[in-house]
Amino acid sequence: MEQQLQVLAQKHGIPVALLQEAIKEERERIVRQNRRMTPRLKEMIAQYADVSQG
Amino acid sequence: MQRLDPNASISTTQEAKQYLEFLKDKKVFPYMIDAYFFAAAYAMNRDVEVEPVSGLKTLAQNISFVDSDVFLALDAAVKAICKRKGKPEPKDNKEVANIVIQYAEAGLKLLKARWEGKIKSQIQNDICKIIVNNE
Amino acid sequence: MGLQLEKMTLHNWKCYQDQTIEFDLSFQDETKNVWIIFGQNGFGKTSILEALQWCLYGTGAVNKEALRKAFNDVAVSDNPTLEMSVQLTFKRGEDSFLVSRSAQRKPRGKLVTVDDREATVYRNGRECQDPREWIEVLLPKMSREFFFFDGVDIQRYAQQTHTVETKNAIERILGIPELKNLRDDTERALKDLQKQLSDAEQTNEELQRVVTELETVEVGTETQREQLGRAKENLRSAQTIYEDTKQRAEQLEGLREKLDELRRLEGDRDRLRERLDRAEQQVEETLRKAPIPLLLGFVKEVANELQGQTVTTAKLFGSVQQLQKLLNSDRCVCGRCLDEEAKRYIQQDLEQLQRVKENSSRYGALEQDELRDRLSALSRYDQWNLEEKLLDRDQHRDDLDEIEQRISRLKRETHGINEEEARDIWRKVAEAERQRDDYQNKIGQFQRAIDQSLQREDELRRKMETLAGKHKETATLAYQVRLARGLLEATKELIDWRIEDAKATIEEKTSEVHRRVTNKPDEYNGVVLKENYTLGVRTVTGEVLNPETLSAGEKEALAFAFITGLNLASETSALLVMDTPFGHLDKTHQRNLVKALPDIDSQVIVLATDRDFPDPLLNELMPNVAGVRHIERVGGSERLSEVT
Repeated sequence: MEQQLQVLAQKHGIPVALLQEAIKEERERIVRQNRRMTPRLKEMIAQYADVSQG
Repeated sequence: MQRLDPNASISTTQEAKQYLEFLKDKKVFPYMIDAYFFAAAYAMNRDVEVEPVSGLKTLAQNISFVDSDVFLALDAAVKAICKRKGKPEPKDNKEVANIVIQYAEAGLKLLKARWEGKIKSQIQNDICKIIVNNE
Repeated sequence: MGLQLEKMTLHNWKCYQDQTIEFDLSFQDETKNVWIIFGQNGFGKTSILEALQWCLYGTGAVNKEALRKAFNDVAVSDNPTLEMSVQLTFKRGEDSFLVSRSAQRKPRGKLVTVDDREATVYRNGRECQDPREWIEVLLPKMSREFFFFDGVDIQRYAQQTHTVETKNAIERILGIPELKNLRDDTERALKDLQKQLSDAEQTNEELQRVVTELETVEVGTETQREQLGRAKENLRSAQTIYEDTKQRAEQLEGLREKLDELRRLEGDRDRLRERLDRAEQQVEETLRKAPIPLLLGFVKEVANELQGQTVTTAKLFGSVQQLQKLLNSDRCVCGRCLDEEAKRYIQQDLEQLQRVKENSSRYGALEQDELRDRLSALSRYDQWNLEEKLLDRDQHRDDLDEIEQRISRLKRETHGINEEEARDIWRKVAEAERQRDDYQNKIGQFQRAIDQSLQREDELRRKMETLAGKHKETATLAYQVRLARGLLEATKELIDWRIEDAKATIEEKTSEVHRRVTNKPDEYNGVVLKENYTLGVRTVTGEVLNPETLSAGEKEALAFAFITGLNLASETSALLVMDTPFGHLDKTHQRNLVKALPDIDSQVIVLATDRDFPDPLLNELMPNVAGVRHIERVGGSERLSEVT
């Protein structure tokens, strides 16, 4: 799985950590009725965008 | 020689009729009358002591479908038996029928005991033995 | 090893008043994964399994009525408002989880209700705010039948189709739903970001045009993807139909010869029936003449007698004629004259002879002759051969019985097929193949169209980034959109990969386990995982058997292999609790399944009777057994048990 994440992150030009963290958080929210994950994802994307853009 | 009348009726005792029905139902013989005449022949062949029977009921109204040679053999047997025993020959076909009935009743009793517990094929094989080996 | 049960405490639960069952994991040897709790039927094995399920899932696993009866009878008689509880301590890696649930009995007059409380969950000593969610993370309720099951029930995993619930439960174990959630959430985040970007660049007309075109292309791409997805689904269905039809065609091909043989045999049977009827008729005819051979002695006797009478009668007729002639002449044959005395004497003789002659005539000479001839012919009767005819009939009957048995066997083997289907099947195979090829072509077309759209999207995005880069905010947003899109694409591919990878792993692991547990290792060489996670058993000849055609033991072996394979394919393996799983199996399956228990990469708790583990098997398993417990009755009461 980890290896596949690396491959896909590279292929689609995203940090592998973003993919890993997003999956981890989704996993923790799996049983919630209201995951509220979209704002969290936007937050994460913004953070990684900042980091990448320096 | 007096002959059996094929157009006359034939009677049996209730007990004999029950056993004849059994033999017919088990398909040992195609008709009750066939088994009845076989029983008579069996008893005649073994020279069984017979006696008059009473309480007879009609078994068949008409027995003309029986093979004519069977009638002839029975007629001849009645005649011969009377002669052997020094008795007068039957005066008419009723007397012939009475003698046949006596032998048939006696024969059926013997056969019933002999075939106790046997199934159709065993009985038919036994008929072979009775005739071929005179057992 | 994944989630393990360390301890369970039962208080007033069914036959257990105060019971703690410990599964010591502190010095656990990796090779010792099996725990056995022995108990005779009715001693409380299933009560342990129910306690586990109630503690985790409440009335979702044990309904209110059953719960009302779950309070310990003995304790209830002392305290009608009794409290009962179950506590479970799990361990996963460094984490410890305590799950606890209690209920109180509430008698109201004759009516008794139960106050069933919410479970509490402590993670490493700290209470969790959302216990239900934590329990779902530990052992999802939806998938509980893959963790807790009884031996008889297990066979249903080896059925031809799964319900949607079972399919979802399997995907849940494989971790697919969270990836699908991520895909959906990312899609929403991407839309939001795109809208923000669009809003930020209201003034930039060119950028707006590019964004609009990009959106149009993206919508087009999405439509094409959906079409591609549908085409793939259709292809899978068409492939399944094609394979099934082909398999059926091959099956029918084999059965066709049998059908031909069946038709031939039915013809033979009809002819034999006719022959048997004729033979039966001959037996009947012979039996109808059976009195004749018995009476032949009499017939011969009478025939001889009649023969003698005929001679006497002939002589008599001659004498009458001679005496008549003598009376009419004056002289005797010796030449002397006849006197009156002699004539009177002759007259008397003549009268006597004429009386005899009259009598003979009355009987009818012709009839008498005929009777004599018939008796004479009958006395030579030798055509009675019942034995031969019985043999002939019995032979025919035996032949008929044999042929009917063969017909019956062939009918069973060819049950459900008909001529029309057999004729039509290859046309259907060709049609199914053409349908499959059509979908394959369509998929190729869609894929090429998607590639072109993606290429166009990429060009537009680069253009958009260039334009947006002129403005910091739009540049940042554009980059975020790019990241979101990248995340979305990666997630989509990850889902496809994960499903395929998990299926391959399940197939491989299930096949491995199945080869060890099946009683036909020479016939079966693997397990095929089909769409919807249903199973097929592959034979050494390459044929894939429908699991519903297998015997009960084979089904259980297959289901066991599947559950084990599923557990191994799961990223977070969980404990398995089995209630009396082996006692009803044939010896080979029982032995193979018991010997495979150590291969499961999980804690295995078996609630067993002595029949599940005969002594020699138990001895073989002992090196892998972490602990053995025994359920015993307390004070001989049916209402109280304890685990020692």
